[in-house]
Amino acid sequence: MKKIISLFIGSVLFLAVSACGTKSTVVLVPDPDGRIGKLTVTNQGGKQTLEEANQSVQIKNKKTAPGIPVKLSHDEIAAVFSDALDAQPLPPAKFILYFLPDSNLLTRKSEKLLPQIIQTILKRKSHDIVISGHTDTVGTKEYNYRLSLERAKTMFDILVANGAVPNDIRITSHGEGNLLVKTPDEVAEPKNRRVEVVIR
Amino acid sequence: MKISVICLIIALLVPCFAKADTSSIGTIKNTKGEVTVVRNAAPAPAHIGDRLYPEDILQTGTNSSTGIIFEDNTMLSLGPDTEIIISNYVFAPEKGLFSMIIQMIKGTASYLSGIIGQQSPEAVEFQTPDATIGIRGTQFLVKVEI
Repeated sequence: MKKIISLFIGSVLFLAVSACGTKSTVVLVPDPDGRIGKLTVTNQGGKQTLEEANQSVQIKNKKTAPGIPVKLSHDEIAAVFSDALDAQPLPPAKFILYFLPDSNLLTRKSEKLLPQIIQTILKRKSHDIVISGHTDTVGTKEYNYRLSLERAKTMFDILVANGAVPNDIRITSHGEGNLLVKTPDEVAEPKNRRVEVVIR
Repeated sequence: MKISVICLIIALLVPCFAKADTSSIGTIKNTKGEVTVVRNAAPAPAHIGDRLYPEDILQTGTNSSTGIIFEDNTMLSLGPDTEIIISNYVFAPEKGLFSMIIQMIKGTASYLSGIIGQQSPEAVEFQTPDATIGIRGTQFLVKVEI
């Protein structure tokens, strides 16, 4: 009997320890543009929603519902998260360049952006550049996929001619599948005839 | 005999397919101190510019930290004594396919949404050992104590 009791106590202790193994804290903070998003924190015990700046919630274990949200001060946040926050990478730089209709020729206004793009690549010493080509909805999907690939390749050639390393650049073609300005099919829209260059 | 030859050919081809299928999902942008990537159970020190792949495990030591940018521009930075698993990551905007599942085992982290979070927020899941965080934008901090 004693054996059974001690076995029972042992397994209860084991369960208790494994259930209290971890503890989590989640904090919603304003992003670099000052926008505040929204989070849901869910487990077997329930759910909490965070939608105010610096609101935090603690979770004790899987089965206990997340606690009542509490606002943290800047000092409290810094005390715990300053290392993680200091390690944030420089946000990617993004440029959008526009093209003449049904063509891989840049508009004059967009041509003027090129020196700034080259400068950004050099200044960041970036080895991580993505060019995505896009079209408006005039023409078939297949035709536009090839046209947006042409546009992306044109941009690739320009960057390489100005010193970027081909291996550092990745090209994607979206055709009419990712419109900047939503339009119905067969609509000429200058803002959709574009390449986007992301430098990370 | 024939079967064993076919088996051998398949065995030789399978790793090729597997390799062709996995493209990089992000890049290490900065490191401080001791930062490790565990891939296929093999740990290796991480360096700036290193590419990351699905199922990679990222670890930082004492007084260490690291920052990464995913293909969709999601930014994740880790404080000291931290471990995360990139359980799943799909970013194929051409096909409209998005998924991002990150498991945090311990430590501290800062997360800033990218294109997946903007275009398909329900495709993002950030898991701690005792809860799941659903994200409707944009930046948050997490701490997991063991």
